[in-house]
Formats: sequence, structure tokens, C-alpha cells
Amino acid sequence: MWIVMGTQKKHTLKSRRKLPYLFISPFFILYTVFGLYPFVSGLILSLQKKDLFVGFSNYQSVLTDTRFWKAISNASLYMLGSIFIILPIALLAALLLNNTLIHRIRGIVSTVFFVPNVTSVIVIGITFKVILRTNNGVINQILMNLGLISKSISFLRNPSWAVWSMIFIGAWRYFGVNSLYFLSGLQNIPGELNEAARIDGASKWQEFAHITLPMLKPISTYIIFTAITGSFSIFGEVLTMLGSDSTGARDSMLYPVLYLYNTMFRDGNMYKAATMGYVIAVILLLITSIQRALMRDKDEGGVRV
Amino acid sequence: MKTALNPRKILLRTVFFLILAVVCILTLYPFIIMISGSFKTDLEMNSYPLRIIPQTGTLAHYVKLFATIPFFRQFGNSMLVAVVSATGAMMFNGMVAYGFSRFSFRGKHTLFTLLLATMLIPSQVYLVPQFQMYKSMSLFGTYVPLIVPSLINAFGVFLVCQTMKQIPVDLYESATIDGCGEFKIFLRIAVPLSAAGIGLQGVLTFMNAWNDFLTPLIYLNNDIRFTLPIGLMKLQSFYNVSYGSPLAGAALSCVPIVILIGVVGQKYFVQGMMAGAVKG
Repeated sequence: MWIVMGTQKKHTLKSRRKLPYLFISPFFILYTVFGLYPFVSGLILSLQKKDLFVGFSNYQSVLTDTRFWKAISNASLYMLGSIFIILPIALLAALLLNNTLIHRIRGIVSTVFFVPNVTSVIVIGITFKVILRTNNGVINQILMNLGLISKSISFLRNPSWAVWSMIFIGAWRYFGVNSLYFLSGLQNIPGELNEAARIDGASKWQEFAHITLPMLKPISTYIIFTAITGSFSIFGEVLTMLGSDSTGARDSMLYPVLYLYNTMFRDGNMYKAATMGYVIAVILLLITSIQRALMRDKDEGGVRV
Repeated sequence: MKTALNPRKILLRTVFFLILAVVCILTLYPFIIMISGSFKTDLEMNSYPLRIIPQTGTLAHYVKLFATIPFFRQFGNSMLVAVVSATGAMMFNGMVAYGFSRFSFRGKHTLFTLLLATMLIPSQVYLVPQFQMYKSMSLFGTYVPLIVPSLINAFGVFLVCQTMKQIPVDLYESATIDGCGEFKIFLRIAVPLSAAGIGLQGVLTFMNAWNDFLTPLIYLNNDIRFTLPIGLMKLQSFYNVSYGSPLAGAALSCVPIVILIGVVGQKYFVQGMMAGAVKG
């Protein structure tokens, strides 16, 4: 009897030990096949040309390609625009939404704010093409009616307007969801903190600068991270608005993924395109680690106060 | 909120309401343009001044849309891809999340860190080598490349983990004592109790798959197999197509998303997304 129970227990224990791995295996199996394998084979591709090993010459050709840097600079400008223009406005809206005076309409406003985030790039492209077009475009008509301009602006084709048009679209698209993120950050701040500050005689501004902002750090880190990665994944909007063979006047609408796509599927240069993927990834990792370092520094300063 | 409002507060509230109303109108304005444009004649579309309500409404763009591309077929393709992606994602993410949240086992911490680390690799890296891989597996032109990314979505696992962690251990223990096997516990206890997280994950996956543009553009090559976004993209390039039909197609392509938001409700959405976001 004892022996039987013993082996049975041992058996179940053994199978129990394997069980967790069974549950988590789908992710790791699928990732190995569809993620890790391409990741490695892509690295190998980037060191090759026509199946011959060529060392880093593909990297050299990407890094010395002025069009590639144009694409990176467009994405960087867009990124700065999102961080320094869109996010502050989103934070303002979140502060407004967090105000108890408007709690009754918070639900409906949140829904509206959420909508652009789940709208597809093709819908955005088709619609904003109409909104931004030169002849009889919505924005042009409004600006003319207000008497701000006398001649239509070619928002998508004029190189000095191109990035601004993209930031405008980005503002529409990401403003709402980012203010919802900020709002959730605000609602996670314990009320006692603000109360304590008020008792200590802090002004509204001091309360904001010394309590609200530092407490928003975790969510801000996330928001800025998504803004950075989002800026480097722009693709569909441009393709939809400009048509599939345009990158804008003087490459003003050339973005990293679009350039990678064109290199791969138009020029048929698989090796250079693969290399580009890795270079973009490294640039992104650099930017995001700078961001993390910057935000961590300030965080420690905030704690000390 | 029981305190009576003084005049200053009433004024302030009115101002806040107005600001938010304006912001909401601006947010919805492109959709208004889209819908109204889809009913306008080409003549009115290109005339001044701009009207929201079309002067002479027309259904011509919808007729042309259906005549130019196999719209319903492509709508169905998109639906198929999105539903399969969402179902697969709910199944796989549920299983993996259960493995991580229910058990403690050797290498758990390392494996979970590895899983999260896959999120840090920018997707641009995979574009070319995945294309080569799918081509060599003869999966080019199929929906497999469109569905797989949903199944290996670390963020989804993380999201479901957050809800599964909240299930009390006692429940698992009493089920074990009652003689339930682990798969039974998974299906009867873990899944129903974390339905909110799994469901949200499914909805988000559905939306991403429905809206996806780059992947189907790369992998699909004939209009019978296109998903809707690619169909609409190609529609724009037809010589006789103006703004109207693409706007009509775009408007119709929003319908499933609108229904989902309506059914699922914003509160659930926003809160669920935040659960995933606040990871520091």
C-alpha cells in the first residue's frame, strides 16, 4: 500500500513539474520559429551580398546613404513633434478630464478620445488626403475663410509643410489615447499626497510640479516610449496619401519603414533592406535608452525633494 | 459632489464643458468629412464652399465601390483574418499566461524576462527575413503571415497575466483537492475568472488585425485574397476613381470597430489598456 501510493505521488509530481513548461511552450516554440529564426537569418543576410559573405559592406552602404538619413531625420522630427507638441496638449486635456467638475461627461469624452487610436491607417490616409488636399481641401478652405492665407498650401507636396502635416495627423491620432494614459496616471495618484501638500501651503503650481509631474513618471516613460517607436513605424498613411510611388518632394515624406519597403520590394535589394532593419533597430534602441536614462535621472531628483 | 456649486464653479464648469466639446468635435470631424464626402457628387466635392450635408446626395460612390473591387469578399477576408487572429491569441495568451501565473518552476523568472524582452525588438528587423522565410515555406499569398504575429504577442500574455494573478490561490487548491486536472482547472477556473483580460486581449487583437496594413500589403498578391485595407489602397489607384468611393469604402470599413467599441464599452477598454501600460 505504501509503495503504491509512493510511486503514484512521484508520478504525479514528475508530470506536474513538466506541466508549467507545457503551458508556456506555445509562445516559445512559435517565437523561435517565427521570431528568433528570422532575427538570426536576417543578421546573416545583412552580412551577405548575392549569397557571398561581404562583412559589413551593407552596413557601410546604409550608413553612407543620404536618403536613409533623410528618412531617419524625418522620423526624428516627427518624434520631437509628438513628444514636445502632442504630449503636453494631451497632458493638459488629461488634467481637464481629471477635474471633478466634469466627471459626468468623462465617460463619453473618453470614448471619443479613444476612437482615432483604433482607426486604420488606410481610413486615416483616405480621409486626411481630402482634408489636407490643395484644391478645396478642408484645411485650406478654413484658412482662406479666416483670411490667414490667400493661396492654397500644398500641405503634402510642399517639403516645408510635409513634416508638419504628418505631425498634424499624428496629433489627431494619438492626442486622445495619450490623454487617457495620462488620465489613468493622474487617477493613480493618492489623494492624500495632494491634500498633504495643500496643508503644507503649497500653491497649485507647486502641487503640480512637485507631486503630479513626478507621480506621472512611470506612465510618461511608457507614453514617450510608444511615441518614439511609433514615429519610426510610419508607413501606411504616407503610402495611402501620396500613392505607392511617391516619397514626397525632395523625400520630405520618406520614412524609415517606407524606405526599407521600397528598397526591398521596388529595388529588389534584399540584403540592403535587411541591413536597414537592423540599423533602424539600433537607432531606436539608442534613442529609447537615452530616454530611459534621462527619465531615471530626473526621477531620483524628484525623490530627493 | 454634494456641496452646492458657487457661481464661479458653474462658470468654470461651463468653460471646461465647452473646451471638451470643441475637442470632441475636432476629433470626430474627420469621420464627418469621410461620411459626408462619400455621399457627395464629384462636382460638389470639388466646389466651394464646404458643406457637411451634401446638397445633392448620391449613392454613386457606393455603387462604384462595389463594382470596382470585390468589396464584400475583401470585407469577409479581413473578418476571417481578424477572427482567427483574435481566437488564436486568446487561446495561446491564456495558456501561456496561466503557465506563468499559476505555477512556480525553474527558470520562470528568466523565461518571463525573455518573453518581455521580445517586445523590445523593433518590428522593422523582422520584415525582410520573415518575408524570405514565409516565401521559402510557400506561405506567401496565404493568411498565415498575417495571423502568426497575433499568436506571439508578448504584450498580450502580459495583459492576461495581470488579470490571472488576481485569482486567489485557494480556488486552485480546492479544485485540486476535488480532483480536477490542471487542464480542467485552466478551463473551468482560470479562463472564466480572467475572461475580462482575455476578452480585452481578443478585442485588441481583432482591431489590430482588422486595421493591419503593412503585413497584408507584403504578403497578399491577388484581389480575391486581399484584406479590406489593401483593397481600398488599390481602389485609390484606379484611373476612374475619385475621392468618393475610397471614402465610402473607408466608412464601411469602420463599422466593425464602431460596433466593438459600442458593445465592449469604453470604460472596460481604457481600464484594460491601462492595466497593461502601467508597468513602469
